[in-house]
Amino acid sequence: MQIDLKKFQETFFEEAAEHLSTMESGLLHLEESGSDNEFLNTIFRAAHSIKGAAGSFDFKEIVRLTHVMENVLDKLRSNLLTPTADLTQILLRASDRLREVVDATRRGEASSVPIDDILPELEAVLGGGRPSEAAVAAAVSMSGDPRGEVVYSVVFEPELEFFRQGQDLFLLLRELGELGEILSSECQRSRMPALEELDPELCYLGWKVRVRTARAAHELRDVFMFVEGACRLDVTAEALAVADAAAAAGPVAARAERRVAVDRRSESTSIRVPTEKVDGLINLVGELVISQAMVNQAVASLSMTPELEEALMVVQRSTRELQEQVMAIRMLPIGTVFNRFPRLVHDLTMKLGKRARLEIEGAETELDKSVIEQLGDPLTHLIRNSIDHGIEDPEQRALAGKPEEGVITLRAYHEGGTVVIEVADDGKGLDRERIRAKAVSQGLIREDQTMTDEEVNALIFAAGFSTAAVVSDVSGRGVGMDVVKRNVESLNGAISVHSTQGKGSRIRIRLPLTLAILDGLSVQLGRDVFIVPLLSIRQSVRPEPSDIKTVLGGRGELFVLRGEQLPLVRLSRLFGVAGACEDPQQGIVVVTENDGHRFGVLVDDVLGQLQVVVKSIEKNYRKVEAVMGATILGDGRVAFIVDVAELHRIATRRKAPDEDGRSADGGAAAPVQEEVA
Amino acid sequence: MAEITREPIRAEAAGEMRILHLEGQVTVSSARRLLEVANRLGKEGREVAVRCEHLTHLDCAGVQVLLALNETLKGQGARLVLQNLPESVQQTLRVAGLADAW
Repeated sequence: MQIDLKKFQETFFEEAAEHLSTMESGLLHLEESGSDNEFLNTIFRAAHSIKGAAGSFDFKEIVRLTHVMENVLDKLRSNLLTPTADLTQILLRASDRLREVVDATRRGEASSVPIDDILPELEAVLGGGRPSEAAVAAAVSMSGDPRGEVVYSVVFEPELEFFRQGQDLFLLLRELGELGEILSSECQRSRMPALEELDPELCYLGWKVRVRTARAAHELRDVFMFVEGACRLDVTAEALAVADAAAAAGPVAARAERRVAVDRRSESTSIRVPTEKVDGLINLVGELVISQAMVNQAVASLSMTPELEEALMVVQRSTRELQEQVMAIRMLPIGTVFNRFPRLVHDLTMKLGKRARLEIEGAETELDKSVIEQLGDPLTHLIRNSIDHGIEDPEQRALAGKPEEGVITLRAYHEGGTVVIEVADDGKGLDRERIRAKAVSQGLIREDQTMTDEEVNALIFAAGFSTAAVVSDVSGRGVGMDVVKRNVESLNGAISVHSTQGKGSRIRIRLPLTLAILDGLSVQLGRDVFIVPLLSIRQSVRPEPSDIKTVLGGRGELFVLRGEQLPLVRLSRLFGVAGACEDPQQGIVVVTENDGHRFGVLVDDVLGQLQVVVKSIEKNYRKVEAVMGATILGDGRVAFIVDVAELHRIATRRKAPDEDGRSADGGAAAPVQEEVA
Repeated sequence: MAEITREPIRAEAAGEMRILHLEGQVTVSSARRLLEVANRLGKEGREVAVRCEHLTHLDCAGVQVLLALNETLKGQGARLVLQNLPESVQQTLRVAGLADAW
């Protein structure tokens, strides 16, 4: 039978990426946690899993590299090496290289990434190490063998229910014996009851075995790999016990006493499914929601019996629940993207000679997979900015009376039907004077323009706002804050900044939970229906004649809402909808907000609020200006979903008037008081 | 005492002694049967010779019962002796630190 390995390989690459992230975040904790085995076990298991799976696909380079990494980690775990800053750096470099090798292997170019330079570095660590030399020497002298063999003490305590594993534990002990020479084997019988109380299906015995071997401790542990959850296992190099005696109650002694306990792994309760399958399911459920709405509409004209009415309600409720459940499958904890940032902060602070730590809150907050996937770049940019421009040098911080170590907080939480992500720092905050001066010099604002602090802050997101004076090789690598803003807006989100000089800045990103479903307001234009995202709508007003003003030169229209002049967009002109009402007094102005700026959208009528399943226009047709997608209505008609951010851009850009004296795209000019007729 | 049973795990009397025959694989699946026989032998409190020449495999569950029986017998001034142990079983007991437990 031919087995398609590709499918399994894809799973391997996905899992390897997860294991690499786990390794990386564990390594970043290595220094601060000392030889805490909790972290070491986690990192080791990640490397071990990659090696094991790579071996089954014969990915030789991955196996070679992980094998040596594993040996280093194992020595750390067995207290034969001490975690130092240098060692952490070497392991981080090795994990970076491993990621490159994995990526190259995925592309079928395994040999394009060399590992021959990193292997000697790791091997040098294996050969050296401060306490290890003494420990290994002690081990060798104790074993009386000059070949570098170590005596390990293996304590193996099966749980009472161990036999249910279906593993013959004598075979495990024999396997252990095959890895070296068993110096002694002591069977612990303290749990054994009297014969008449004995349950023959429970395991009462335990063992302490001393093995002399040249093998690494992890190879000894591997013997018990499949029964990890059903036993307690300690593997310790005995040499350290000798070192303990010599060092009395020194730190080495304390470490040696620490057990290398294998975590009990809970049984996996999840399954891995390709995203396309889930998307297919979501699509089908979307169709079901539409069909259900169509049925509702079709029977509305019939005389309903109570039974039919009840049946319809049940179908409606079940459909909604099914949709919610299916959408929940796509939800991932935001921690999956947050996890990459401790490394970024670690590397950047080292590079810039600053001190900062990253605090993560709400990593368990769930968001749609597609939203999460697109968050990486903007968040990376924001964190780079915080470290480069926000956090001061340790000396400056000390002078300002702040702790030398700055804090960058990455926070996620639910607010209403949205998720809020904040990137905050306790650095120097935005220099509004400088931003203002720069914006004036770049012609973005007039010198005498009055602006609130929030408006000045928001200038950092303006397209073309150059931060040339503050660009470094860390931030400002061609991706500006305007790109961050565009990224967030493309996710139907909004971004804002709050800053207090001397105290720090906080960037706030508000995102919808999912891109697949949208709460919208359906509006009528001629015979067509359009959807405006509900999140952006502030109110709807039927305008009085005096509420509509024309900008001088016919460059656009304004809607006056309680004295405030808002740009007005006639949706019918923008989309060229025939038969729409021309007289604003006959229509409705939907007041919409984008990034703190309000503008009016003129439509014929407001039909009602509804939840729609978003379908891609680009995928099925092509990109249409000011349209973010489409949906199918209950009556089977297709309705465009309006892109409010793009609409706002159109509403505020100045364009030469067309022959009718109207703005060519239906948009209005910026509301400049003196130009209003 | 007449032969108690013809099972692969069975006990018989041989004068003052009792002989426990273990044949084939004695594992957790047959440990309940072994315990049943061991309980009877424990109550009798006679010397027990465990005849292992036809034993092919003895797992931990089986060993536990024999260890418990041995303890019970020792309490009554008797003991249990393993006889004709196949090399593989001897080796297993050595690795498990139980070669001298009898």
